[in-house]
Amino acid sequence: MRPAEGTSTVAASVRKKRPARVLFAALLFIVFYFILFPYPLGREFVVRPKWAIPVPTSAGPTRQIDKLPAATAPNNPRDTTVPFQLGDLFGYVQGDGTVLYSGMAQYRIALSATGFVSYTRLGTDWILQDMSGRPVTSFSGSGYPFLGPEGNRIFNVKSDLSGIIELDRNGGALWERDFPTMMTAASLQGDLLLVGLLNGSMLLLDRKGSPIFEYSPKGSRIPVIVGDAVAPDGSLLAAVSGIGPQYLTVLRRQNAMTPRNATAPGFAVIAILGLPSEYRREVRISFSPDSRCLVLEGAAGPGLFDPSRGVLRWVSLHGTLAGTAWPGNGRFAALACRDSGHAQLAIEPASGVVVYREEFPARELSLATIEGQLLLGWDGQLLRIDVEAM
Amino acid sequence: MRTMQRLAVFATCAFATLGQPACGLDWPVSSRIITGTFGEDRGDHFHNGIDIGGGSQDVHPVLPGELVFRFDDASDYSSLPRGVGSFVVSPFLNRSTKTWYQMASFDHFGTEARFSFFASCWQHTDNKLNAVVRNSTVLIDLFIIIRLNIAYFNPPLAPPGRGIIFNFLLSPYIDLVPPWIKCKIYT
Repeated sequence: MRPAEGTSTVAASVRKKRPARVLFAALLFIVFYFILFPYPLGREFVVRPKWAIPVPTSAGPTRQIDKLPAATAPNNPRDTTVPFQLGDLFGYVQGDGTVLYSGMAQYRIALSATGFVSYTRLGTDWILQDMSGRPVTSFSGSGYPFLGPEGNRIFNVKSDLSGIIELDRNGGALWERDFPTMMTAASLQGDLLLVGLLNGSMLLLDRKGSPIFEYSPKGSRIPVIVGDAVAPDGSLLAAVSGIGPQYLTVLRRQNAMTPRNATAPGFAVIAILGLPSEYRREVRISFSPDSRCLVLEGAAGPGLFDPSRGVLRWVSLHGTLAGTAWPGNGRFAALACRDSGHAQLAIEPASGVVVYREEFPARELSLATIEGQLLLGWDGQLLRIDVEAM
Repeated sequence: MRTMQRLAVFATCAFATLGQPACGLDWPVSSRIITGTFGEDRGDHFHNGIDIGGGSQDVHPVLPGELVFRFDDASDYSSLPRGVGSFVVSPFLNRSTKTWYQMASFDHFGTEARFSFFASCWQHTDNKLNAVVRNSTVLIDLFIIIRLNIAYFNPPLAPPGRGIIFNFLLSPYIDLVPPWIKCKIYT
């Protein structure tokens, strides 16, 4: 039986319209699905210049050019004030761009978060000044002053680098330690002082100057420590050592529950990595503030070492490592290298995704972390650069 | 007690003579002015070496060695405070002694000159220290002898300007700079 002509046309039309309706319904479903069950996508990181100020060469507080809202002004200057040094110029700047103090070093400067000592080459009497330049105390010594990062420990390093003396606030010797060969590197974090020696050994001293751990990396033709670092939480030690070949050695405290002030902590080697470099001078090496990452100077750029995975990754930058900072509240490493008047700045996380990279002419360069962001000292200027997630 | 001291001096001298070439060491610089003598009073310690000045001239190694560590005074980084100026450290090969050449007074030179100096130390001399230094002060620190001196000598037994190291290890040289002797009472 042959269907009516009109019926056939309607059925065909229905068959044609049904997919369009289904498609429309599916589209609606997808739209409503994303509205009802939103999935957060990855955040994009933006490098945002916050302020830039010329560093005044005379002492005294100055304000930045562009003021920030009052809500971001610091409550306690100590919380947000960091030291900076640009060649002979040094001082203290707050997170909002207020320079608390700036001055020129007489010969060299011992700088800490809370005070400084500006000393001469042949002088023996030193004055410890606070962040505003006010004298705090004075003391004497025949070597050169060395301050802890927080400024709560004062040392006198002998001029021939053969020993170190910790001083109290009145200049009296708390303890003194001499070494069999000259010191080549030192790292101070809290109670722990790690000293690298010319004979290739590194010595960890406690608050009283007593050696609590000693280690000599092996495998090199000439043993020498050219850089060492102790992690801020005291859980890791690292050293660049030896000539022919050069090695990076990282040690971890064996018992994580051991308190930092334990009398005899044990450290075990977690990594010994051969390096392509053959430095015969001190190299920059330091841990991140959260002790999760290690930065060291390398022949083809700085290296980022992840102690938890034991992986060393090189960041391709030209020149000598000029500084390291940890912007983005410590999530990123800002690394700057300088070579014959040019500088390269890279900001990236330990995973290696480049967030920012810039090359610019620079005679002087320094990096610091201020309020969890980057403080860049550059040719007489201070710049705050924030890394924010959008 | 005095006999023991003399015996210690004799033993040290004998050891020094055996441990070094019979002809003594050459001077590292041709034009020499002794600016610091061995054993002189430095306030809280006695000087462990000899400071030799002499103006702009070449500095030669007194024994073969390899540059192991250097510090450039113009460097913007040092974890330790240093005020002795630029210096290089070159332990002697196959010997127990060490020499520390202290290079100072580079202030009127630019950074480039200092770097080329250090490069010349390493690259152009077959791993032996041989550098051009301008207006420098060179400190020779003969390590083992000094240690013996510190261990066995009373400071008055080490005559300033013409000490044991001076006579035994270096070729004769007339020191025209009068030493400044600071008296110290030992109890």
